[in-house]
Amino acid sequence: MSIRQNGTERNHSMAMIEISNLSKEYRTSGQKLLAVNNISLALDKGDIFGFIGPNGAGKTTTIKMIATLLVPSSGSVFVDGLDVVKEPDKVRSILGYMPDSFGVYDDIKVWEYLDFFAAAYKISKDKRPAIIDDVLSLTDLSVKKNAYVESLSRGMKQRLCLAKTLVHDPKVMLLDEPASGLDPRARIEIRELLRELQRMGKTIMISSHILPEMEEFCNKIGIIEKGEMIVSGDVRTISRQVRGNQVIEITVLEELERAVSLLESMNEYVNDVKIMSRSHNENQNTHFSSSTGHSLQFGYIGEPNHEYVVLNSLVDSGLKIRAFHSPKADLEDVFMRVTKGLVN
Amino acid sequence: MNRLNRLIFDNPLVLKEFRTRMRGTRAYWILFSYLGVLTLGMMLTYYSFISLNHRYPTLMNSPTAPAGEAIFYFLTVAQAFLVIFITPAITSGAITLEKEQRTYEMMLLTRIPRFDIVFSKMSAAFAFVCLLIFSSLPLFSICFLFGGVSPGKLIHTYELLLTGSLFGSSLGLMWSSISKSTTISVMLSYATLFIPVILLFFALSYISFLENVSNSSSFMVSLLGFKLSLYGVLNIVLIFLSVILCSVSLTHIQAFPQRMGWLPRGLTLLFMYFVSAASCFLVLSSNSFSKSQGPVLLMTIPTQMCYLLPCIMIPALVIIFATGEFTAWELANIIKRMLWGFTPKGITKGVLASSIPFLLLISIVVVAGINTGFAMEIRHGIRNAGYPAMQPMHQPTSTSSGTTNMKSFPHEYLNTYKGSYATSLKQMELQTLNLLAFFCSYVFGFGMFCILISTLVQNRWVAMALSAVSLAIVVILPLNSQLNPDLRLFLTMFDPVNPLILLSRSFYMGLPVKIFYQDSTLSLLVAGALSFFLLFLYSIFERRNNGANSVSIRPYDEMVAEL
Repeated sequence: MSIRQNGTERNHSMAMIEISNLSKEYRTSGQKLLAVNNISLALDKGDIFGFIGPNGAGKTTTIKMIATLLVPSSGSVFVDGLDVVKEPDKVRSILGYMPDSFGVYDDIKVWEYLDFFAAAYKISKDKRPAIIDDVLSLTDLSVKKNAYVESLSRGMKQRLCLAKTLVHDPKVMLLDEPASGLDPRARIEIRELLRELQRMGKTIMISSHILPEMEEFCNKIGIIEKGEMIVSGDVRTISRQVRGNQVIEITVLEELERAVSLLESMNEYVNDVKIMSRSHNENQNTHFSSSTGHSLQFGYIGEPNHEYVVLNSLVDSGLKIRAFHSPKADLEDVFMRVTKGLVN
Repeated sequence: MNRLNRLIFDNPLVLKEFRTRMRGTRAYWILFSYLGVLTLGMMLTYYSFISLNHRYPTLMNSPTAPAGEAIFYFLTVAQAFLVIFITPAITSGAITLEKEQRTYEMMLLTRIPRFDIVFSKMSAAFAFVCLLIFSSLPLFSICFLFGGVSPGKLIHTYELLLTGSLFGSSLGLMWSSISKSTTISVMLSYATLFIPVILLFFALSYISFLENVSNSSSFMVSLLGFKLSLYGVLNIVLIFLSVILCSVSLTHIQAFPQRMGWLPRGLTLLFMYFVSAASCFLVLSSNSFSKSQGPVLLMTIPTQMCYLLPCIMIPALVIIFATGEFTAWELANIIKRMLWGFTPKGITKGVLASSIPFLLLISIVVVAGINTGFAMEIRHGIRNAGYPAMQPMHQPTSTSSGTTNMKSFPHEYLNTYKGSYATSLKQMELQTLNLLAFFCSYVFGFGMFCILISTLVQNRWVAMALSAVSLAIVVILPLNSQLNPDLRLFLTMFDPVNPLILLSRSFYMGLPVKIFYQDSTLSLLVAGALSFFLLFLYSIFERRNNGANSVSIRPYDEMVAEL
């Protein structure tokens, strides 16, 4: 008897992670909870996928199903062409999983901790010291080799956990909230480490609810809300899809009207000019004051990375420009727009 | 050999446990306080003995031997208590701590087989307890200084301490693998340890009583063809139980819910066979002979005591196995599911639907075990329980054909001296058929009731408690019609309604009907059928509530669990 319901056969595409129609339903004492609802996704080798969603959206459940910790209620997951339900052992050997609330053992030294996991992944005794040194230098923990694990700071523990995930050189890495609860410095260190892993050609899946970070190193993102994947795909495509085009905000000291008319005249670069003059110093000063400057927003539709053309022409025409920038939290904006209807 | 090497010498978990166990000061404080308590107690025992001897010098004829014995008993009992209460504390956090430290999932995802996990956790705990136990050995040597204790007794004590600690640690490990937090696990471990400890003390007092009466320190019985001391039987039971408990934890330590229900179930079957055979043996051989005194009855235990242990254990097994949860799909297809439970594949899965067939199998095995016990008692028991002393009472035999003599000897002996005993054994074998019918109807009646309760409350632990309470009510209140004549009269009013009784009155149906024609068995069968009917009604009700579509397709994860 075939237990596969939706009849998906293993197809020989190059996808490292292939999820199709994945659902997970928790059934505890009569109550049903659909944690993940019909998610489909494909990641190629070298992709870094940012899995974004509010708490309880189903990120961890999905990652656990890929990590062979949970069996899907329906649908299928293939990692490097291997079915996670039918061949969990093979999948585990090519997969590195870092749980959201990771743990370390008490009374154990850093190198012993790594040695434990290396041995658990059946790496032979003579190869282990070299591998431990490698992952320690990669995660910048070489000086702490003989320290006790509980003496490490939280950021160091996080890096140690990443080092543990790397001992068996996995092809696919699943990192569940790797940067949660870290101070900015530790967060930057983790980010550097992830860049390094990206260069090593690993397929990485990162879940987070901290958006700006993801933007910098993910090439694909997916936004999940109440178990459903709302959007997924390339970062730029998604932001363009959602917003239409890139938004640039400028602040001029005076001559707001002239700036607006100038911008509207450059219609090969600019559309949708909006005056946002009251937006700046509202908190400090209820009356509009000309000294703080006027801000306005426009949509940039020209070639990517040629925004300076607009700036140059504005400066050339003698406008006193205080700021010219695109609003920072790009992904956050996407996120807020996309999940607007569902969050409330 | 490779596997052994991996299991012991290159096992990361064992290495980690050993490394962390003795690190820091904790382990040494435990060792210090353990030995401190024992030493202090021993000193007090010694001084109380000295003062007693000082006040009543004529009370004791040997000046030191009682002191040795007193110290020995103190050390044994104190150490047993310490070991029993320390071991579950070590293991009941073994898995739950990993869960709480959030290392459990990481450990599961490595390629350590779960058998290795159980093995490492057990061996680490057991090694530490061994350290404690053997560190007290020098204290025991003081007993030898005073005399009064034989080395054999010391060995028996140590064997029991070791198997007892094995049992305690496997109990802790089982609860640790089942429960979510260490607090719950520790509580459950100590709560469930209570009953085995009481049983163990009963068994030990029984053994020492037998030893005192038979006046020999090594009372041997032959069990299933093997010659064993009573301590040996006890050790085997403890080791067997530990293996079962470990197999239960084995089924719980895993990422996927692929159940290995066949392992604990199979082991339980074997264990029940062993226990029911052994329990007959212990009862019957206590009724036979001692080496020195010949054919005297040591104790007059009624032979029905042979049934006692199975009769206590089967209700407990019903409560354990016939509680659980049906999934929505199972409940919707309840009849199909219960029938599937009777297939060979169904019985091996540790699911609620196949609990009744499995318990029926246990009843059969228990009765088979009792029969084996009787048969073995007739064949080997008397021969081994101290025969040479009986030889002179028999007709002179030629020494040349010793072997043939030994074969025919028990039968002749039985015919001559204990013919009535053998006949009563044979009658008891026939009675076991009755017992089988009772067990089967009991399993059906009470088992279906447990299944109904656990379906209604949807929580296994609550269901277990409720079933136990209702069992206690039935036992305490004399609902058993054979005990209460009024109730019997009341029940006979319904007799014409019972088709089985009508059948038995209309036709002579031989043994089957005769066996079931007892009010208690019949009421059990009626209770079982009623429970099943209610279960069926409930499943129809649930189906209406949920809508047939939601339960028509079985979820994939449920199917995976049964592969």
